[in-house]
Amino acid sequence: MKIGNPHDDDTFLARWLNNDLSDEELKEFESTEEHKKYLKIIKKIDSLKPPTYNKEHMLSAIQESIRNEKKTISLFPKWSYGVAATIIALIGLFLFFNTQQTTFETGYGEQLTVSLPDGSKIILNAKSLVKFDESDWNKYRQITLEGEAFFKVEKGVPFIVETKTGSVRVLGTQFNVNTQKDFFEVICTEGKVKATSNDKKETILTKGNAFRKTNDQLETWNVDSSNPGWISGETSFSNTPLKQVILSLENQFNIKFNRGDINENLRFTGSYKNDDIELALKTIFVPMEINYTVLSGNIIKLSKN
Amino acid sequence: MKKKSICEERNFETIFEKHSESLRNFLYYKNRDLNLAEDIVQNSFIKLWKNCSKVIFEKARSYLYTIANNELLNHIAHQKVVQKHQLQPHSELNLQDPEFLIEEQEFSEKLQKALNELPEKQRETFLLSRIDKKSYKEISEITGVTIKATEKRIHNALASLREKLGDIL
Repeated sequence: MKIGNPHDDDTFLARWLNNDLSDEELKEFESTEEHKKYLKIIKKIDSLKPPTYNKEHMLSAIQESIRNEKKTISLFPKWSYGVAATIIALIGLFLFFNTQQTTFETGYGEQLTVSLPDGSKIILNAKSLVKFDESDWNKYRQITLEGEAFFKVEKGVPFIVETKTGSVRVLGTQFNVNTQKDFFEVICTEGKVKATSNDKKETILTKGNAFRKTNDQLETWNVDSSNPGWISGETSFSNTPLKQVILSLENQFNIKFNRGDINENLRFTGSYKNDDIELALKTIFVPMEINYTVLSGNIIKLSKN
Repeated sequence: MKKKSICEERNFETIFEKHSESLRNFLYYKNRDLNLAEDIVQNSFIKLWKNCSKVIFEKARSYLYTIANNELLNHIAHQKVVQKHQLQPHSELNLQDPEFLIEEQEFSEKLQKALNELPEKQRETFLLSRIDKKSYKEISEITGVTIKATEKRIHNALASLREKLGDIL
C-alpha cells in the first residue's frame, strides 16, 4: 500500500472518520497496518483541547468598547416596535448588558468552585452551569442550575436552587443537587433542605437523607453524610438508573455513547475514579453485563452481553 | 410574525453565547495567533452590534465569519508591508494536551509541529472537525466550500499527518 495516499479516493479518510464507509470498505481498511497508525493519530488529536476561553471577559470587553464608541454609533438602533420599546432602549443602552446575571460553566471532566457574595460556596461538576444575580444577595439568594453541583450554604435569607426538574430551598446547610432530563436528585450532607420536584412533591431532607425523582418514580434513602465522592475524584452511585450513570461518564470524560439495545433503566450501585476512563468503563459495564467497543474518535458502542 | 432583532440585548447575547468560542477557535486554528484571534472576535461582534438592524438573526453566524475572515486577511496584508524588513515571531499552534505522558512527549511534539505545517485550510477544517466536533456540513458553511471539498481537505490533512509522523508510529 502506498504511503501518503492509501487509496485513490481522496475523501476516503474523511468518510472513514464520519462512519460513512460501506461495511466492506471498513472491514478491508481495518485489516491493514495503516489503519492502526491512523487510529493512533486520531486518538491523540481528539484528546487535544483548544486554549481556554474566558467568555465573560470577552463579553465585558465587547460591552466596554461599545459604550466607549457612543459617538460613532447612533444612540439606538432602529426598533421595529413602538414608543414603549424606545423608552426602554434609552434606559437600556446605559444599563446595556447590565442584567448582572453571573454565570459559571464547566466543560467535560472539569470541576469549579464558585464563591458567592455571602461566603456560600458552589462546587460545580463536569458539564454543568450555574447562574445567579448578585444584587440583593442579602435579601434573596436564588441560583439556576443545569447539571450537578454541591452547595455549602451560609445561614441567612432564603437560598433557592432552581433547576429544570425541581427546586431546593435551604437555610444553612450542605447538599448535592444532580439534575438531568427526567432526573432530580438531592442529597443533604448537613442541616436541612426542602426539595420540590416539578410535579410539586415536597420532601424535607436532613443530614444523611437523599431523595430522587426519576421517570415518575420517587425514592428516598440514607447516605454516609460526608462530601459527595466526585469532589474528591471518585463519582459514586447508589441504585442509580444506568441512564444517569452513562450521562455522568459522558460529561466526565467527553465521550459519546451509542446506546444500542441496552436497558437504561437497570440500576447501578458502585463508583468510578474520575481520572481513569478505561478503568471506569470496566467498573461500570462489566458488572452490568454490557459490552462496550471504542469506535473511531471518542464514540463508544454499547450492546447487551 | 415578529422577527428576532439582533439589536435586542438578549438576542445579541444569545448569538455571542452560541458562536464566539467557535469563531475564536476557527481563527486560531487558521492563523495560530491567539491574541489576534481574540481581537478579531471582539471587533466582529462590535461590528455586528453596529450593523444589528441590517443583519437577519438567522444569518448572524455567516455575517460574523465573513467579517472575521476579512479582518484577518486585511491584517495579514498589512503585516506583509510592515514585515518586509523585520523578523516577525512565527506563531506556533499550541493545543492543550490533557494527558502528558513522558513516552508520548516526542509524539505530541511531532504532532503539533505537523499540524503547524499543514496548509491553512486543511488545518482549520481538520481541527474544526476533530476538536470542535463540527459536522462536515457546518464546516462547509463556515468555510464557504462544498461538502466534498471539506472531505478532501480532511482526507489530505490526515494523510499528511500520517506521512510526517510515519517513523514514530
